[in-house]
Amino acid sequence: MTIDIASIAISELVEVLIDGILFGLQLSLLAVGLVLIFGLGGILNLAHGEFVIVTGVISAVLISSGWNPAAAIVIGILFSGILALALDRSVLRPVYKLEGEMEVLVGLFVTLGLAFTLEGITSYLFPGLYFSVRVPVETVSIFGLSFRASALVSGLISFLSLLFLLLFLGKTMTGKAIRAALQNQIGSRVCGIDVDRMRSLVFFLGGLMAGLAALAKGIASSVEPGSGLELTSYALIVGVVGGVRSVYGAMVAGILLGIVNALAGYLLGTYLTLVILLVIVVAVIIYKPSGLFAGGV
Amino acid sequence: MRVIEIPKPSVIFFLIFAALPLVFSNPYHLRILTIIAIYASFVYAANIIIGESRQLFLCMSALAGISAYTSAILANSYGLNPWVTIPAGILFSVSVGAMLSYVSIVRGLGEIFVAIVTLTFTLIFENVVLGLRWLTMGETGLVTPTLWWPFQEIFGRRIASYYTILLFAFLVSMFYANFVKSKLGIALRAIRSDRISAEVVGIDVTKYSVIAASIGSAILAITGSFYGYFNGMISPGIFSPSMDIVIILMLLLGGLRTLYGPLIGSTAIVLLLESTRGFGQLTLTFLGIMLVILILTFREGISSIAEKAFARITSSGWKS
Repeated sequence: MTIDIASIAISELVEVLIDGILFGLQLSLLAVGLVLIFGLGGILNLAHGEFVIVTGVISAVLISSGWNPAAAIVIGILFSGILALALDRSVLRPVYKLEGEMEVLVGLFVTLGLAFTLEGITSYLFPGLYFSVRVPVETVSIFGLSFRASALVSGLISFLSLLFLLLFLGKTMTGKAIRAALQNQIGSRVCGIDVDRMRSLVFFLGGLMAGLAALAKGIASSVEPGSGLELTSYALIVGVVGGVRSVYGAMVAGILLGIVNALAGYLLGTYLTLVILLVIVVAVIIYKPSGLFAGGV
Repeated sequence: MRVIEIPKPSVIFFLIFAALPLVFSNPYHLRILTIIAIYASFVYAANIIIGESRQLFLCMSALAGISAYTSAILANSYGLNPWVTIPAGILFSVSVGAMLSYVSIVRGLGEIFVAIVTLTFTLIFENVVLGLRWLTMGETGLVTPTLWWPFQEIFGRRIASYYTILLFAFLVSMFYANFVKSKLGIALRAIRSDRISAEVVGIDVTKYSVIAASIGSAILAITGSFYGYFNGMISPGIFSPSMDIVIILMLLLGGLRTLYGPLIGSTAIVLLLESTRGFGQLTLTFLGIMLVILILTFREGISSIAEKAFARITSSGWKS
């Protein structure tokens, strides 16, 4: 009898763990854009969550007006990328002229203002709208363990997006130039890398990643106007734990926090889960302000 | 003995506000006036913590909320007079504020990390309040017990609460005027302009920063409690992160590290928020656009611009 209970508990635990990893991949995807932009732009982009919302809103509006869902989602994701690029080219320009702590502070407040602006517009124009993608199958069972199909698909999309980003940064010449600029801006300028262009590219990439995060979240649950700042705070949490400048750090931290989230949710209930996650963040910042996985790019 | 300074423009401002209920006596207008006075105190606290001692606290709403909840819960569950429980709330908020300040200075966190830690703290506060449903009534909000406002038997509760809160804002304003000229204020100015030099000449950076954070927290705590008792109920929605944004916006609009900035900023923004109420969520957009424009174009604020213009007028007057 006791063996039975133990085996049930273990298989349940494995399910919880995998659920956590799948959710963690979503968190990683949400955070990488923020981390990329902070690394090169020097701007802690508090409007990051709004990029997610914008993709969701555009896609949902296009789908409801009769577009092919796939095309609508692609347009939505591209739109977030272009919006990020536009912000980099316009309102954020004066911020780059500032130096050090001042640049970061002014950047923080400007993006916060942008977040409020976008949050206000999207929730005023589209109240009650939500973006959600249905997966035809309810549950999938693998090796006798059952998973929600939507969580699996969402995790897979997150994984592929992260893989794409890693390959881009690791294998292509442009990606290498971005990494060089992330590590040392002056040095890469000397080597003939146009840092301003790389920064614009990073904003575009960050916007695309936010858009892909919207797709992943739309499959797993839903994206609706008004939750942008909440998404930003999740991205911040993951980014800070991973070391705000490290893309790999953000990926690992996302998965780690996803697992913590799932385990805490399983063992202690949903209310305490978020509090535990937040306490972890405070502890990490106080114990090691550079983040757990700082160092690499 | 040092003479306490009472700046005249500030006195005039408060006299005008004290006279306003004679003209705007309906409950709605009185409520707006009270909210302006509440926010003026909040902004002075922000001016001390963020302006004078450069600690980017994004947990001002939580510090105000902790005190409001502590005081209301204690009064509710033990049947105590709220005036007795308010000090307990203040004590709680001040310890939290001082602790956050101490930890971030000892750990050498930059302004950005102070901002993230304190913002995270605000989210923790919000979630704890939402979660402890049996104690805080969660999202629906907690009905605060009735506070006795001085002279409420003669003037009625609305008027009495307005004048109590206005008097407190006036005292805070006077305190700030003297604070910047005190030993503490001068020490903070030295730390602000060059932290290392300040340390070299023997200024205890940790001590002065923690004291500044504690004073700011105390002002936030008292005002937060008053807000709760005046409003009749408190909820996580009132003490949410957007309250911090509104306070910072007022501070920036009025002018960072100025005496009149908090008065100008709180009046302007409360009136703006009230007049754009009909636009619903678009209010957020107005606030956002304002924040972007303010931070990019004039970080000095209205107050210092007005002062400069005033100085120019008077100096040219002397020349001719």
